[in-house]
Amino acid sequence: MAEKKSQGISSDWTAGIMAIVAAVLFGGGLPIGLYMGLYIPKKQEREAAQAKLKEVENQMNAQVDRQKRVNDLTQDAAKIEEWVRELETPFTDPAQLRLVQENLRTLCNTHNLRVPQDRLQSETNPEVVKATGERIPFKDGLQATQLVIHVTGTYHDFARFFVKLESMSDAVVIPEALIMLGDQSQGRKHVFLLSVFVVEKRDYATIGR
Amino acid sequence: MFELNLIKDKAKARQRRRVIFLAVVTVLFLGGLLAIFVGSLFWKESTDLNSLNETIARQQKQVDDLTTRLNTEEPAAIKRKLGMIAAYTEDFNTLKRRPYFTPILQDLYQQRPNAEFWYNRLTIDVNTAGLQRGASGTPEDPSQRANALMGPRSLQANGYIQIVASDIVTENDLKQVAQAMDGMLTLLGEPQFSLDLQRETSPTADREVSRYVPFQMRAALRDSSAVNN
Repeated sequence: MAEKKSQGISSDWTAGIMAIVAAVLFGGGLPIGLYMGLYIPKKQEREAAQAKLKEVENQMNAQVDRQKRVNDLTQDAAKIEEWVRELETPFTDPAQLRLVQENLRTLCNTHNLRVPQDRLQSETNPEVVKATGERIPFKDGLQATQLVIHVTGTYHDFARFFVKLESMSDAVVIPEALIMLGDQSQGRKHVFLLSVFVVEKRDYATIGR
Repeated sequence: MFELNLIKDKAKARQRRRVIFLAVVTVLFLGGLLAIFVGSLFWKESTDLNSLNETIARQQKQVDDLTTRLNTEEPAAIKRKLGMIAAYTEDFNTLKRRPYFTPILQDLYQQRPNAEFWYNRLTIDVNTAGLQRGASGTPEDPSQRANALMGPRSLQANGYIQIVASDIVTENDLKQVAQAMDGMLTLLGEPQFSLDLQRETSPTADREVSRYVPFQMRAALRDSSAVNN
């Protein structure tokens, strides 16, 4: 009877302890499972996202630096454009070429340079300064228009005219070729055929674009 | 006696069950609390992650937009600046050569031999030897003509000189004249005079007194870098 009683007591405790152990396992396992199965992966995802954010921020900083560089480049270009405009002050506006032609004609007249006799006879309305309409491009965008000056006069007058021509303040004239023919009648009226190019102002908005 | 013990056992058993029940409930309660704590941590991580992802997406879009814009703007800005530098250099080089022909004409006017002489014809022209033309006859490089314009020139002049002394004296005289023509050096180089003694003419019967000898003057730079630099 006593043996039966002690057996009953021990089996009660065993079941109880098993229930406690099960409760501990379940009660501890649930948070641990949640921790390991949900929290840790989410934390890793968050850390990866933070690293990604940092990377994106670095990319953003690089682009901001790049933007600053582009702004500097733009400012530099604007500054050089001012210098170019200043340098090109004596260059001719393409729309003002007729004016240069007129100035050269006046310059010829004031230096006693006239249309050669043979041209007066052969041409209906001969001009001392003629625009050929040829326009040549330079390597880096400059443009120049050709004018031909065909005159007769003394060497001295022509030389003085030439000094004025090359030192004009409102036009830059580059002589290309010059043919001087001595007076056939052994006089002092020589014939001068001069090809020049008038340098034009650039279209600043299109430089480098 | 037997019944009393039985009653005592029942009481003990009830107490044991109570203890076990309390222990189980406590453990489960603590486990639940811990699970709620872990859940709240998970929830916080989730909201943080969502917020981060939104920030990343927003910033990534800004980076992408900025990158796309700068990919267009940066090369354009570089090209514009380089274009401006090239334009400035070209303008500067064009202006620094002024005056072009004036020194040559001054030399022709000022430097003369110790004898009567006349120029019949004088030609200053661009060096067209270097111009390369395509099949259509037009230059392959559109700026070739401008390059030639900014390059060296060649000069050729013909005339007559009256020789009253010996040919050698006159030749030496012309050599000195050529050396004094330093205005030509940049664009043309040093000129060379040559006398064509075969074609000399004499106004008088006595050829030793006076003769008119055709002369030629030539000048052309061999090295164009002297001008282009």
